[in-house]
Amino acid sequence: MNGFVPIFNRKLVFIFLLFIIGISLFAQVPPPPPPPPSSPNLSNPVQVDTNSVTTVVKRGVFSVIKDIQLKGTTFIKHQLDILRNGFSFKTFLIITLFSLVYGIFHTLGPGHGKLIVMSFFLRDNTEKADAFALSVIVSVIHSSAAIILAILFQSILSSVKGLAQVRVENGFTLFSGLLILTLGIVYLIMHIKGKDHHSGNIKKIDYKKISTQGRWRRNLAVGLSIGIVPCPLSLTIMMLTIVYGIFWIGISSVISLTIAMVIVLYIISISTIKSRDLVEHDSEKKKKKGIMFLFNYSGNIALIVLGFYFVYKGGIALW
Amino acid sequence: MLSFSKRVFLTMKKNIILLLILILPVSLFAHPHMSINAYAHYYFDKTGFTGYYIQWIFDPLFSSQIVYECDIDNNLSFSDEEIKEVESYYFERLDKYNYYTFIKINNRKVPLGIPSNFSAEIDKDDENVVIFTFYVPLNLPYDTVETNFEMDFEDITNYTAFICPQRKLSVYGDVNKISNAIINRLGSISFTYQ
Repeated sequence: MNGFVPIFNRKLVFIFLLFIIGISLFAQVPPPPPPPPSSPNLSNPVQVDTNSVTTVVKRGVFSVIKDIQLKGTTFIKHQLDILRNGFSFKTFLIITLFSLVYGIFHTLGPGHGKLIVMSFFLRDNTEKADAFALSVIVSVIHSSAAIILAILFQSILSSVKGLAQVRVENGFTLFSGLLILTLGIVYLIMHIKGKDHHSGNIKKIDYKKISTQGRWRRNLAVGLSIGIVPCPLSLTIMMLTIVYGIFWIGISSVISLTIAMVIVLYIISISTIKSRDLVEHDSEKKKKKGIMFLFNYSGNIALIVLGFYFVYKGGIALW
Repeated sequence: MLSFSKRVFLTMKKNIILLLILILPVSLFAHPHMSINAYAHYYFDKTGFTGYYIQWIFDPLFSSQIVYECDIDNNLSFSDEEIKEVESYYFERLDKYNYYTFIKINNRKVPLGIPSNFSAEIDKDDENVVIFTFYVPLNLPYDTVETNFEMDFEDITNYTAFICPQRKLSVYGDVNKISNAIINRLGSISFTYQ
């Protein structure tokens, strides 16, 4: 275990460096600023020389992340433009593999349910199979919603244009927030009343004996509440490929993004479960109860807080 | 029996893992739907700060959506009617979000003027990206002391990610002194003028 972590980190760093080099080679250079427009009603529209003005340009980690995301989407658009003019297996392979790698980076960014998944596994005594089931459910629903919405926007919802489409997506955010909030409250009430499997009042469930069907079913509610918000990147890719007449290439790219999301969410879920178990295992007996108490309540409360947050975000966007 | 240092290390590793897990997702920000490179050009005259032009360059992926919906004759150029469509579908509704622009003068929030002179174009030389340009009047007379100006590009719904690629200020007209310029690539510009 101790030797595994440094090797795993070196591999991650190596893969990340390869990815950055790839993006730098293939992505477009940012365009120069456009020429400024003519000034309105000024008697002396002469540009002031600001070269002598000391200008501090701040760059942080987030701006680097934004730049990389922009380069990634630019690269995808570029490849789609090539495929629009005629199919090329090499380009198809590039965009599919790039979507897989970029999808990992993309999922690590905001808006993919990582914190909610962590909160869920922090509070729940679950197994790796649950982590896999939830990761797949969230990712598939997240991408499927985008595909379905793209088809709707190009067909029966074609009158919904421009920023009105963004409002539809904001509606999904609000709905997702309501679902997560409801789940968090239900889990908390169940825990307080001693009606969940963590309390001593009911028989502990043997998780190894849960059937496959039962496992997928019990993770469906949480997965649906997290994944129901359509992935904006997948949505834009699908809408573009529908317009270009290369719908199936959009599907292929979205499938790669979905697989990447499954991988990231699964790793985060497993890490949460292992860390939680590590803390529980290494704690003294009398502290163990307190720590599990803290995990369960903090996980439930985190779900409620996140639910409120998404309801707020969706609400202010709509109203 | 583990040595003291190993026990300390294991305990720290446990706590660090938990801490990393708790802060790893970092932001609760929603998922950016589009990315905009924002440029600002500031205009002064003898009386004061008249206003500023803002230019938004949309990312190529979102630009394609605007072009598909509004370039009806498919000539990769927006006619006057098409510009009105673009403004109607993609710009007018931004008033409730303050056109993603927030202004402070001497650390006090200032209401945004009504944008005018809106135009849209497609940059055929660069991935057919769409550029919005609009003017916002300010009409602030000069003060006797230095005035601090701050501009933030922000979408409160976090559906739009802003980047300010400028490396220096773009200023036009009559102004005595510009100083303390700070450009934050995450989407804010500030400077002092007199």
